[in-house]
Amino acid sequence: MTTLLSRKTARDALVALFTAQDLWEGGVFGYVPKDSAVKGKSPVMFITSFGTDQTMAGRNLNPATYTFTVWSMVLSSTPDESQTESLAEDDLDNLDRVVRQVVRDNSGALGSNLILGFSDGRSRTFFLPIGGEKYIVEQFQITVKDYGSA
Amino acid sequence: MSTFNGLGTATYSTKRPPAYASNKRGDPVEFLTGVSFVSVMPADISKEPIKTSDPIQGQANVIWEAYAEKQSHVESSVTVDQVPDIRKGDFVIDEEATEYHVRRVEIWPLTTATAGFLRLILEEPI
Repeated sequence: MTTLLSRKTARDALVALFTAQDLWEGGVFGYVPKDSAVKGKSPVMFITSFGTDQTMAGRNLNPATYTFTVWSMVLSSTPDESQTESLAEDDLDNLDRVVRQVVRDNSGALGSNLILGFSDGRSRTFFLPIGGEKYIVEQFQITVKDYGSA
Repeated sequence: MSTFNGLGTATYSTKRPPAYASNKRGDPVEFLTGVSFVSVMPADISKEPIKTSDPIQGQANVIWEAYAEKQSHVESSVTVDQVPDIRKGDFVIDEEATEYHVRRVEIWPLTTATAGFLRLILEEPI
């Protein structure tokens, strides 16, 4: 019988993967931080647990699929106009490509316990006020499949 | 002696997030120093500070208010004499190094240069 990882381990691995991209200047958080911890920085990423799908398919082949919500966020504009709504859309689109690239690059590692995917391939965007400033958020549903370690 | 002079016994500083550069915006940096303030006080007439809950995350905050007036202080290492330039999104740091997030700024009259004062609504996460 193999031993499953905990969902926290999978979430930490996701945080490490996106932190390594060095693009989310405000930080990659494995939780939703206080507004004051974001401090107006941009871009920022939150990774939160969405749920677990435990498949029972046989004695030794019962993979767990952890689903996480990945919030990729960009500040909409600044009073000094060093950031504008138009530039924010460009930033969001660039980050969207990076997120999908990371998942694609880590979706079939043989012999690895962690295999990434999308639970729903369609991301969605909306606005979120943080500390009185408007952020554009793009949400992805990313899965991590865990076949357990021997 | 002006209205708040006798009450403005606290000295606070502020931080402001820097300009966007290379598609990123980093940590807030020191912006104002040596600003005389009427110490933060509960933003309510009741005995306890208002506790609020962020409508989206449910994060609990305590809401304070503070007052300052047109005065000589330091802005980005330059001495100026005006109503302190503070805006929503800045951070006010008190004498105990507690950081408050500025959520609302009310200036009267509507200018930062001529005689006037400002009332800040500050948020402290708990």
